[in-house]
Amino acid sequence: MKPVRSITLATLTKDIRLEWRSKDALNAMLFFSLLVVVIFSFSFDPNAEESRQIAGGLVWVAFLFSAVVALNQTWARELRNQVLDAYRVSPAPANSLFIAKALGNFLLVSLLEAVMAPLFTIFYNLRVLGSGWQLIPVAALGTWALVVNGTFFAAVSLRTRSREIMLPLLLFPISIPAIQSMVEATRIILTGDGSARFWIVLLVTYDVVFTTACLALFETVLQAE
Amino acid sequence: MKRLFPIFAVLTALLLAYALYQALVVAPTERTMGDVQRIFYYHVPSAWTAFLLFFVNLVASVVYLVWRNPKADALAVVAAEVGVVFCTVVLVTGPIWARPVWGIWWTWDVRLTTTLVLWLIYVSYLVLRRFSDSSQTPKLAAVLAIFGALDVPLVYFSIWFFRTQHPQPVIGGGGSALGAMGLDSLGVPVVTVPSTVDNDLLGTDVTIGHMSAVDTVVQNVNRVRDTATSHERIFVIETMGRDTGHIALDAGLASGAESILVPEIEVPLEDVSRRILRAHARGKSHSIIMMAEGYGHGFDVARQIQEQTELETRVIVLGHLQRGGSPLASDRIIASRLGARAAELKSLMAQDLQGVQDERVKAQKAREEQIKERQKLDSELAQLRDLQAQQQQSVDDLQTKIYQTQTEMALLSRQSAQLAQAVTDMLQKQQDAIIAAAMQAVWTQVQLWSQSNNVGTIPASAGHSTKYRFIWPEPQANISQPFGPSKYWFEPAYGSYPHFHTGIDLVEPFGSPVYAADDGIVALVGSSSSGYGNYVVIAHSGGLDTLYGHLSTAVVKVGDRVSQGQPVGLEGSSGNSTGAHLHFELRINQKPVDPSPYLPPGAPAPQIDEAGGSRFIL
Repeated sequence: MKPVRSITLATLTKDIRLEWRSKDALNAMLFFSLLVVVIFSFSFDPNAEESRQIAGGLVWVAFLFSAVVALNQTWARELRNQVLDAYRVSPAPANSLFIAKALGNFLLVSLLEAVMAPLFTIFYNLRVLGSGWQLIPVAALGTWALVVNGTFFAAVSLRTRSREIMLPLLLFPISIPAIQSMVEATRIILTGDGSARFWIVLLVTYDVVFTTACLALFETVLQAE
Repeated sequence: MKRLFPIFAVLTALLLAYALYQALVVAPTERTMGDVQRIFYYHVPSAWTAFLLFFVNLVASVVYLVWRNPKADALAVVAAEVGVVFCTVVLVTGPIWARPVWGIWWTWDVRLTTTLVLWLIYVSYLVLRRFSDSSQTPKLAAVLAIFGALDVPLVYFSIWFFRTQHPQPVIGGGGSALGAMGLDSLGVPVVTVPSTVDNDLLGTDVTIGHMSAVDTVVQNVNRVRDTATSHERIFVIETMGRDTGHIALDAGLASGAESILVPEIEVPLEDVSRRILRAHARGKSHSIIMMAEGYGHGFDVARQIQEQTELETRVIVLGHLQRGGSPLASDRIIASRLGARAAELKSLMAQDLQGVQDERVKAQKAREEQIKERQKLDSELAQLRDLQAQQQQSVDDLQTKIYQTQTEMALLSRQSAQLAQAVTDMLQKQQDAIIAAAMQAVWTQVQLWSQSNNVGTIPASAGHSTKYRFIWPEPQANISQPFGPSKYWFEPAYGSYPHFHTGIDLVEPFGSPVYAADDGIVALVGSSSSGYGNYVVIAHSGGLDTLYGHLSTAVVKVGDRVSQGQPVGLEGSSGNSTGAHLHFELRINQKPVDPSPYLPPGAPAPQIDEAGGSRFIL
C-alpha cells in the first residue's frame, strides 16, 4: 500500500501545485458558476419562499456545469508531452493515479462550493429552515459522486473526438440519481420539510457503488488502445 | 449469412404485417380504454425486447471485458442499437396511450423515468462508440455499459422515493379519478379530491359542486315552470350527469318535476306519456320531465312524447350552465373540508412510508366500503322507484275512486230526481184527483138541482139579436187558455187525455163584472178551496149549463132568473188559480163542450201567454 499512497500523494501535490500556480480551472469555474447564478436569478424570480424550493436544484446544476469545466482539464494536461503514456508504462498502480485525480477534483469543486455558497445565500436570500449541518455531508457526498464519475468519464472521453462534449454526454445520464439525491436533500434541508435521510443513504450507496466500479475498471480505460 | 438477409427481411415484414392485423383487427376493443389500448400490443412487447436487449448488451460487455472476444463486442453493439430503437418505440407509444387514458402525456413516475434514463445511457453509449477511435471503442463502450447497468437500480430507487415524497393532488371527477388510479398503480402517490357536478364518484355522499349544479337546475326549472303553466306545455329538461342520474334525481325531487328519467332506472317513455295524459285528463296541462343526459337525447325523448301525447313538448338542455357560477355555501364547506384532509394526507405521505402503507390499507378498506355504498345507492334508487310506483298506484286508486264517486253521485242524483218526480207526480195526481172531485161535486149538485127544477120555461136565447146563442161573459177579455187537451198538470184527466181543459179562460182586470152568457136560472152558487173556487152555474134551456169559476164574489143566488148580459159575479182568483181570470165552462147534458161555436166571433182573441205559463188559467 505504501507505493499507492505515496504515488497518490505525489500526483495530488503536483496537481494542486499546478492549479495553484496557473489557477486556470479555478478561475474558469468560479466565473462560470457566477454567471449561472446571475442568469438563473434572471430566469427565476428570486422570491424568498419560491427560491427555497428551487435553490437546491439551482445550486447543484451550477456546480455540475462548473465541475465539467474542471473535469475536462483533468486529463487534458497529462496529454501534453505524453505524460499519460509515461504513466501507462510505469509500474505505478493505475488506481493511485485515479484517486489522486479524483481527490484533486474533489478539492477543487469543494473550494468552488465554499466560495459560491455564500454568494448563493446572498443572491437568493436563503435561510436554512432544516438542520443545516446536514448540508456538509450532502455537499461532500454529492461532490464526490460528481467527481469520481466525472474523473472516470473524463478518462473515457480523453481519446474521443470532441471530448469536451463527450464528457457531459456520458456523465449526466449516469449522474441522474446522484443529482436527484443532492437536489432533494438540499431542498429538504433548506425548507425543513421532512427528512433527508433517504437521500443521504442513497448518495452513500451511489458513492460506494461507483467508486468501486471506477477503481475496478479504471485500469482498463487507462490501458485502452 | 448475408445472403439470408433478404429472406429475413421479407419474413420480418410478413410477421409485422400479421401482428399489425392481429392488433388492429382481430383483438377485441378494450372496454374502458377503447381503441387506444391497442397500442399496448406494440408498447409492451417493445419494452420487453428493449430491456432484454440491454441485458444482452450488459452480458456481452462483461464477456468482452473478461475474454476480449470480438464477437461479444459485436453482439453488444447490435443489442444496444436495436435496444435503443425499441426503447424509443416504448417512449413514443407510452405518451400516445397515456394522453387519452390519464389525461397527461407524461408523468415522472418510476417506470417511465427509469426507461428514459436507460434510453439516455444507451444513446450516450452509441455516441461514445461513434466518437471514439476504433481501437479503444469496444473497451470503453463495455465499461460504460457496466456503469449504466449499475446506475439503473439507483435511478429506480431515487425516482420511486421521490414520487412517494410528492403525492399528486388530483382534483376532479370520474376521468380524473381514473387517471389518478392509473398513476397510483404506477406507484405515484395521489390524493384525489372528488370534485364533479355529476356526483358520480364511488364512496362519496356528495362531490364538490354537485349541490350548486342541482341548485342551478332547480332555479331554471322554476323559471321554465312559469312558461309551462301559462302556455300549457310539456318541458323536457336535460341535465348533466354523464352516465348517472344524480343531478336529474336530486333536482327533480327538489323542483317537483312530474317525471324523472335517469339511466339507472328503466322507465318506458310510454309510461311517462300515459302519466302526462292522465294528468291532462285531470286538468293539469303542463308537465316538467327531468332527464339525465345519460338517459338519452333530450330532443328524441321530446319528439317521442309529443308523438305519443300529441301535446306540445319543448326541450331545454341546460348544459354547462350547471358547471359554472357561484358555488353554494354547502359546496364551499365540503371543498374546504376535503382540501384540508387532502393536505393532511399529503403531508402524512411525505413523512413516513409506514403512514403511506397505513393509508393504503385504509384506502383499500374504504374502497371495499365504497362497493357497499354503491349497493346502498342502488337500493336507494330502487326504493325511490318503488316509491314512485306506489305514488303512481295511489294516484291511480284515487282516480278510480273519483270516477266511482262521480258515477255514484250521478246515479244518486238520477234516483233523487226520479224520486222527486215520483213525489211530484203523486202530489200532482192527488191534487188532480182533488180538483177533479171538487169539479165533479159541482156538476153532481147541478145534476141534482136539474132533477128537481125545470128550466124548460126559460125561453131560448135564439130570439136574441145575434144568430149566436151566447154573448161573451167578459166582452173585453183575452183568452189565456182555450178548450181542449192541456199541457198543464193541474188540469184533471178527461177521457183519454191526462190533462184536459173543460172550459175557456178569459182574462180581464180583477173585479171586472162577469155577465151571464144566456138567459137562465141560477142552478148553483158555491165555493170550494180547490177546483172552481167561487162559482156560479146557470141552467139554460135545452140541457145547457154554464159555469163561471174563480170569481171573487157572486152577485146572484140560487133560483134567480137571469137574463143574457146580466152580471152574475166579479172576476177573481179563487180556487185553483194562478191569477185573476174567469173560467167559463159549457156543459150540454153534463158533458163539457167547447163554448166557442156558441159565442160570437171577433170578440176576445185567443192569446196564450207562453212566457207566463200557468198565469190566468184553469
